[in-house]
Amino acid sequence: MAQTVRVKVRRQDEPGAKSYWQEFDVPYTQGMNALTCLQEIQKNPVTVSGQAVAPVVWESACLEEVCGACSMRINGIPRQGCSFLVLDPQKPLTLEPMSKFPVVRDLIIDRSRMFQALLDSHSWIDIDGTHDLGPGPRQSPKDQSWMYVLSRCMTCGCCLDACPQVNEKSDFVGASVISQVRLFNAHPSGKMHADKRLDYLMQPGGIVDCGNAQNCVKVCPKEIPLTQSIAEMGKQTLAYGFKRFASKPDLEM
Amino acid sequence: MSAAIQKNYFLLRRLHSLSGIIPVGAFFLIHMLLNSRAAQSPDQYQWVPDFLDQIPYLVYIEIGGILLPILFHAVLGVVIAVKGEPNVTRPQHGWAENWGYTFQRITGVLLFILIAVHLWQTWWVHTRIKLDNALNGTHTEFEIYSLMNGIFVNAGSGGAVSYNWLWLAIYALFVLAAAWHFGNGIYNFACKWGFSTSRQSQRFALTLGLGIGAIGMVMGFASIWGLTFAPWATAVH
Amino acid sequence: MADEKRVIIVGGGLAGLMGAITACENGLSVDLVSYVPVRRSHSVCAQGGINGAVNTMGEGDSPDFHFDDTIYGGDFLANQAMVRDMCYDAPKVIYLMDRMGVTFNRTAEGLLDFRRFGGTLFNRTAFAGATTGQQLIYALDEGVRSWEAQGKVRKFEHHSFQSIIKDGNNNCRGVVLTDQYTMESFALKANAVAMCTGGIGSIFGKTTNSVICTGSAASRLYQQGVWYANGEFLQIHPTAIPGTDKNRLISESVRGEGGRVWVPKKAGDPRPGRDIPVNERWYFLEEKYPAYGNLVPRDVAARELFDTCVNQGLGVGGRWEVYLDVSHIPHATLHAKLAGVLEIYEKFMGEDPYTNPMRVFPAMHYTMGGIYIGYGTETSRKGDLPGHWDHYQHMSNVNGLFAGGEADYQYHGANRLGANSLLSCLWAGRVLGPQMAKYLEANSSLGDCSDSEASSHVQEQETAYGAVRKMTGSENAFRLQEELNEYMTKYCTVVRVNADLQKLDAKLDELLDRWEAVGLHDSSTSSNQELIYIRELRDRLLLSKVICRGALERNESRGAHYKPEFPTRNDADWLKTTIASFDGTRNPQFSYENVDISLIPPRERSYKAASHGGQESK
Repeated sequence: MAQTVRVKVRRQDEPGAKSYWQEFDVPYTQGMNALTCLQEIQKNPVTVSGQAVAPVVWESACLEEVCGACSMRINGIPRQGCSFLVLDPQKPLTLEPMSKFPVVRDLIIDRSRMFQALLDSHSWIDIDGTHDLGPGPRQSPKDQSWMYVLSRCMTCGCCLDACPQVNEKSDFVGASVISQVRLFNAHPSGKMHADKRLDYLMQPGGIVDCGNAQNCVKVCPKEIPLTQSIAEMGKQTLAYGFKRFASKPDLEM
Repeated sequence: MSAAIQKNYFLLRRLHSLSGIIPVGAFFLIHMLLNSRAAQSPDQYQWVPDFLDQIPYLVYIEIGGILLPILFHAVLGVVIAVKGEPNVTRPQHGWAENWGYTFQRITGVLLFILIAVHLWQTWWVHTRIKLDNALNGTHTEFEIYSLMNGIFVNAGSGGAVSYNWLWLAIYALFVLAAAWHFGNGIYNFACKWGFSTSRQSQRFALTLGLGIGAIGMVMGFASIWGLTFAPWATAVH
Repeated sequence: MADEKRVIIVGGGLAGLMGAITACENGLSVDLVSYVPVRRSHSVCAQGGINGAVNTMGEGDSPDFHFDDTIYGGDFLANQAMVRDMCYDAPKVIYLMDRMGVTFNRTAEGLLDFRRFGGTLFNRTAFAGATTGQQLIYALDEGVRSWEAQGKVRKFEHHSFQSIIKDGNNNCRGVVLTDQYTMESFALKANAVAMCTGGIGSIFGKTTNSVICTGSAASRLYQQGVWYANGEFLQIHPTAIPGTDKNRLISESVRGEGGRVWVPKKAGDPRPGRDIPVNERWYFLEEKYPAYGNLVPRDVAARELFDTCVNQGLGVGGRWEVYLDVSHIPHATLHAKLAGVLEIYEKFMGEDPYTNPMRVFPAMHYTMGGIYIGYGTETSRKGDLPGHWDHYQHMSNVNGLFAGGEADYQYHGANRLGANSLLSCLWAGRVLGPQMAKYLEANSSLGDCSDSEASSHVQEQETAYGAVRKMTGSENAFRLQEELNEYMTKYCTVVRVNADLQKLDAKLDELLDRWEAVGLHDSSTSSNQELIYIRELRDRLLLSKVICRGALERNESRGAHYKPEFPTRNDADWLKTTIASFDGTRNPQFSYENVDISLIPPRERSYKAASHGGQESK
């Protein structure tokens, strides 16, 4: 008989419902990843005990770790399902939805809070319009190289899942948006609206709610230096706080 | 959350972070330094309260400069600790920094309790004597060495002594917790205030912080030795 | 709600997002519909870059050369006037994206850096590492968010497009959507709708496309009477990593930065690639195409790779793989310019591409064909040209229904040049906003779509879902899909033989029959992906018919469409756009339309020597 992989999935039928575990054996192929296992379940949705069930549902899009859709907890760690290779078929695979977001069904979670954070934090570069205004501001290759790293954030949510400060009792927005603010505040024209983003970060749930556990940077699939960004924004908010306090009310000048 | 707290949340949290260094952390270091005189001799140790009593407006400084900041740091700290959900026990989440985060909260809550006990055992005794003296015109001496010695060492019959291991353990833990909390706090402070942004400089801040904490710890343990195990510690009985 | 200023954009990739921004700038409100959060659209997968003749490298590049390269690369099947407009706009598009904060790579002077791509001899491709598409879409996502903050954009993410609402006078009046979480179907009304739903990769299964490129939206439109053009033209990317769930793209920029394609001279050489000495390697592209070398257009490269492995048996280790080698390029250069793509190789193959030659093979990559759209009268060229010049730009044969991006058929002809897709998507987005505004103004008398019209369209979808919910057959939809993928990939990609296409056509009929016997395993009313999937599968089967039969009809070789039985281009008979329309049966009706060749007369396409606008040297 062909080799199989044992896949344990934490399932949940609908929002708010109780979760439960199901186990599946899926045929092993070399180079398969966590999502291939789920695809195999779709093709034969029968548990190890022979029970025919609804196929497991999950979110995915690019399958090459640039879209951020397929975040899930694999063997306890939040990461992208597509890039988790199943190297040893002997080891069972445990798939769970990420724990810090409302579960929609099975492995699908609702990450809208992250997009809301991008909206609230003024995370964009203001432009006067899409009409032709010539080239953008010049930037040094050195600046580009670190800003590029920050701009690869996929809003996948792994950093929130791993963060002990992100939970139902706290409003902490998580590392990703703080890092995005750093990116926009570094851009030559984004800088002009830095204050709006800093105001956002200085609200409850903002930068000061970081507990410096540094889990975010360890689970980030894009290896974004999130803790560096948080420290940098700590500095910027502090400086801005002083400025806001010292030069009130002339700030609007 | 009330509107005022909401509005000044950033300031409050930054003050919390700052108060951990100054005055609370600084006080811890000075306190350990002065206490370590117990490892020299009871007389040297007695010099500490005698010297402090010469500082003008001491009670106001004690309350305003140390007690209230500690209370502020502790109360807000407990609120912060309660809001976090440490996850070191999750599979594969046992990173050093994550343990650091968890310990910071555990030691914080622990220190809140221990400081209260410690104040009750020492500062309040001293203050009550001073109040008595002031109100009743008495001249009772506050003898620090015998007070502290009495916590750790029980006088038995015929000059025999026994150690009060429970209190020794509590105070040893106290020193360890305070040293760790302060050392790791220096590192947190450096990160949160943006003094250390790069990985390298954050590692440096952690080393520096833990090093300072270790100095405090050594001095703290020296004090306990002086109060408990030094030749003069049992001689007094 | 009577809101004449509202438009609907379906699809949140580059074209849809840019369309949303330009629509807002034209005073419109936008309902933006997307299968996934827009930030996760397939545009994120674009790696290499975006073309624009900015000529910062001082090579004498110009939009005219870009235009000529594009037309020539597309084997003269693209309608020329709009391609020229696009190429002239390209530098402005790049500048705009630069202003929006895209982290493009820079020169020492702080200007945009450009690299080389296939099918041209100029450094014309602006890039942000090797994740340019991701960077562009993030900038646009953020730009749209700024309009969202002003209440001008409403997002319907995790919603699946079901149909347009079409009235009796061939006007588009809105769309019907299904909420993927609650499974509820409902109507959105608007008299202008833009479809920016991307490519149809899922028809071929393991492709470089995202799994969200289901092909369903295009098929639904086709089934509602919208014309589908040039379906048989699909790009096979020469270099992808074969995988168990998809074939992951290794960008052409790898060759643009100096990557070399080779196979061991000795068939089945068992040594690892890095141990094979240079004189025992066959750099077949460089040898056969001295002018363009490894940067011949994709159709040419894919065919050569296919021929080397399949016909000559010279693939790596006897398998269908060739080496794509960057191990001779300095580590720092690779890291600065290609880290994103090399990281993908390393993650999924577990092998370090900085020191080992990568193993790659062609995979289906891009849909040149798509929804038929008109060119409008505002292009730089008008007059006595074929097609629907009186139409609005990017408007389909249904009034008020627009299309843009990979979903439309314009711009790339028979083969798309690398780094032109991001451009065509953004350019389409720039056109969509103003065109929809203009259309709405001219048709303001249409008024709001009636509730009964809308609800009858919703009811149609409910009925269709209801029918699928009753399906209890023994077939598994996901397995049928695998069979479809296998046949389409085998018979309708790099090489097309009429006898095979006939086999494929019969297979598609068989699959359509077997689809009726599919069983539904999931009865849930929450996030029922299987329910949606089963309906999409039928859409794919019907669209496969368009591709297969379109290929069968076209007895010539042109661009990506290669028939060994008819190895040459036949302009006399086939310099024509294929237009497929649906008559209610499985088999499409074909008609053909002349191509606009008014600006560059067709000439023979060969990459053995340099070519710019017919001039022989650079």
